[in-house]
Amino acid sequence: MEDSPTTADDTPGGARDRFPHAGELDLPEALDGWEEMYPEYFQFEVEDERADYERDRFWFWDKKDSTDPIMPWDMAISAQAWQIAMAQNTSRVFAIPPSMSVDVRVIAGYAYFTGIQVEDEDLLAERAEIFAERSEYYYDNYDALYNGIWLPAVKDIGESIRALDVPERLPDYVPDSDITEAKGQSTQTLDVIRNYNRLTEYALEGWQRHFEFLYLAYLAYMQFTETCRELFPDISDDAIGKMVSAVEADVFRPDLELNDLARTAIDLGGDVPDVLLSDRTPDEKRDALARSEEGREFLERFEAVEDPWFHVTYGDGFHSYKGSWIDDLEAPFNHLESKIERLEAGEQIGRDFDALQEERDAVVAEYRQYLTPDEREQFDQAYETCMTIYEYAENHQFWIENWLHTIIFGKMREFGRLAVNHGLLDDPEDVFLFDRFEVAELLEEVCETWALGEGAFVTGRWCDRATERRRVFEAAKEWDPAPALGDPPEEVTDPLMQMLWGVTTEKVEGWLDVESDDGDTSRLEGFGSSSGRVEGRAHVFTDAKNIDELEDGEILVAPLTDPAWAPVFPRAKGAVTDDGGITSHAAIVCREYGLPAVTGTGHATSLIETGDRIRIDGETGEVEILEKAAATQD
Amino acid sequence: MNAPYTLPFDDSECNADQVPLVGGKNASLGELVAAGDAVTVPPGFAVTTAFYEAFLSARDLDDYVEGRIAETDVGDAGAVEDASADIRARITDAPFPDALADELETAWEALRERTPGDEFEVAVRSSATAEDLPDASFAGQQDTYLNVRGFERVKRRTRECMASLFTPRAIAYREENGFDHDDVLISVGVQAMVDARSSGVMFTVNPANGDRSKVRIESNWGLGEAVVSGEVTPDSFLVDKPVYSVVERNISEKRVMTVSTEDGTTEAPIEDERRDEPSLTDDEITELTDVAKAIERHYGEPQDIEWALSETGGEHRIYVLQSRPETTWREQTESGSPSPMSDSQSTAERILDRL
Repeated sequence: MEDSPTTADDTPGGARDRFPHAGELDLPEALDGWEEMYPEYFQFEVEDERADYERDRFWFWDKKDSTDPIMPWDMAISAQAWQIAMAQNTSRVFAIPPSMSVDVRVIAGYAYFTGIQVEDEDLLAERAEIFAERSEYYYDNYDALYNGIWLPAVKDIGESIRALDVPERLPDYVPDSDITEAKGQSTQTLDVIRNYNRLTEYALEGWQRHFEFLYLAYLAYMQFTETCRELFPDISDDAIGKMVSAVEADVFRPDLELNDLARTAIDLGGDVPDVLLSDRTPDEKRDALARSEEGREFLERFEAVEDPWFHVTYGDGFHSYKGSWIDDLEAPFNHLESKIERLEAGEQIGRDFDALQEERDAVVAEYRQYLTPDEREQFDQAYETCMTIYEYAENHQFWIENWLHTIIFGKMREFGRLAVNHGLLDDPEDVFLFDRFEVAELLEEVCETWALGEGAFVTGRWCDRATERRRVFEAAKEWDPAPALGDPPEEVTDPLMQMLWGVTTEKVEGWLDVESDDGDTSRLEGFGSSSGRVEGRAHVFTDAKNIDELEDGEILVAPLTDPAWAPVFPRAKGAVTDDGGITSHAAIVCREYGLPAVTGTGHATSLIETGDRIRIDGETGEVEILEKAAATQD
Repeated sequence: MNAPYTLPFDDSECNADQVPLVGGKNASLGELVAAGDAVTVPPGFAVTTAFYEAFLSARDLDDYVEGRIAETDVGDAGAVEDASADIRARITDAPFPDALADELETAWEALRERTPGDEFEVAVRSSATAEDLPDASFAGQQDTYLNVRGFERVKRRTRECMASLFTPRAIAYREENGFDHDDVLISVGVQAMVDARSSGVMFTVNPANGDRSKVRIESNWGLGEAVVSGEVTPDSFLVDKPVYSVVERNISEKRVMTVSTEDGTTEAPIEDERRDEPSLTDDEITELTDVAKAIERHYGEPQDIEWALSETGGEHRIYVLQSRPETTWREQTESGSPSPMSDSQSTAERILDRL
């Protein structure tokens, strides 16, 4: 961190340390021009009065979602979607009394949030009434609303996007039918513009759905954890987590399907296991499999599950450039390989779900038994609500961030290819370097160029800007953003900030320590999310791309994890993440596999290096670096 | 069937319904044996009240006791002291009749065979039947002889325990309240000694707040007396019962421990390097928690348990020495305030309360 430009050395003589304001940041020169890549309303300090408002608030880097910078178009389904869908869910839909909304800003592709709270007593009372009525309706009808409306609606959005027709290129001459049916000259260009607009509308609609039950699910979870803490003082986070574990969430399905496929490969026999274990690319493996009967049978099974279950995005779903399993089958094939190896070695793959549920139910029954009848009634209500709705916190992540995003990004690439085929872009991926309004402009220019006819002038502006922006974006990836901006609150009280982003008072103080470089760099603290104490070799990953390199018995260290990481957990000895609380993916998966986990340490991936010997305590949330990799080498 | 003269703790007849035969202490050990596989009680047997009666009657001691007290002015403390001393000396010095001595020896031999190790030592303690006495201590409950070696000594200690029924206070109390000395009987327990590496007490409820999902374990090196008497600040662990996690752990600086001597115990300093060492491992804490849960389940209410842990050749074993109802918290909650939660709140309203 010594070369970080974001230290708060110049803090104007206040008693307490604060983080720099956005305007005080000294960004590297390579980032010059980042502002034009993102909408103006996301930028800090563009007008004086708003700058005053911004400087008056505490902003934290949303490291959960923007671990890496978000590309300009990807903002359409992240920051832009959040600014409306996330904010309105608490402000105007469910009126969660103390939490008005979250305001979003962007610096060089990294999102910053500030929580806006309600303090006015009258307003709080008004909102409480609305909240009670509306949330009760959702809690009471969760199953019908989720399975009857939500899931079909989300699938419908995905299918509608798939059905949007995007030509590879516009035809030299419009089809005869435009004449014989008198279509009004041609709808081809209109369709391009209309379908692009539809895509962005569907994407935003998907994001309205994303937040629909989310806060209610977290509030139900909070209600349960607080109830437990009252009834069982000193209960550990891990114990609470155990009571809500072994939920059949869709988020586990990709891994379960891979397990089934691995077993299928062995059952089918023939050359199937050999091909899958061979040193070939995924495409070569598919070709080889297509040549035998067993192989074709395997491929058929594979294709039957890849939609939806292999629509798993690498990273957290917010980065088009990271791709998805379905675009690059390297990861699922690698996972298959190691699963087949394990099966052949006589090992068990996957979780023994029934046993886990039995264990969970036994733990719950035991806690209940220690309560008086009144307390038990209170516990049961909190537990049942939590167990009913909590699966949503996992499921939405599969359906929106993974399945739907894979489809959206895929469709966007079709528009990118159209622009490439008409000479306005060099690479379909470059389409993500422009924000959603710019892409509308780009596609309009594609249509204009086409309309001008054969031999029309083709602008090089978009290609030049793409090259320039690519450079800036790469520089943004290398940049280490400030963890927070402005004056931290004495105490972080917003329940949603704590639950969703793990922003706690201690966490903020920890950031200040690292900022001022006087923190202890051999120790980290996070949430004790899954119990157990282990020591071992750390393996640090920044995204899910190469997680297959995790060796048996290593401790996984990651920014955060999501469904794409699931297949490696059985090999890990434990897990440490930068972000996420006891409800995060890593926490949940580790409890299911019985692995110790410490989540939300803040900066494990920057302090720990692959090869370090570390010790983690999944109960107290402590992580200790016992020996640095450099020291173990000699 | 005649009442047995001796009764092993693990005989199903040695239970809470048999207090008149085996006394409260022995009956509770029998109950503990029945609490399940997780609970190990050091093996032993009760020398029953039938044995006691047969002994007194064979040696005409019952008549002697009656006569000696009849001639005593119970208002005169000195006279009661003298009578007590005479009676106790008579009982202690009278040899057991052969049949009783043989029975006792057979039981003692059987116990010796069950106990590994060369040096076979037992604890001999009285087990009073008179549960109605307000202060059990004067009925001889405190009479405990540790490290008793050899059959001759066992016989003598057994008689000393029986004689403890006639302490001056016990005599005076029975006289004042019109109880017949003949009706008050005593049983004696003979139990294998545990060579304790660590021992202590545990409560199957958090004594600080009544939270029944926790076990509070207190532990020191050596025998348990230093912990029970409060002479040492023990290590203390708070364990979450359902998931066995230690949610609070205080390792104290332990200066003294209780150790065995030739004929009892004494306090000895703990060597420097062990003072700050935890006196229990995590695995042992988990096992103790299992023991606590099994005992609580057996009795159906929170318990206060004395335990000891022996270790030989890397193998350890947990023994339960005693268990009784944990009353402090129960009294508080029964008279305590009602639950503040109103009954008919919806989920949304309860969430609102927290926001």
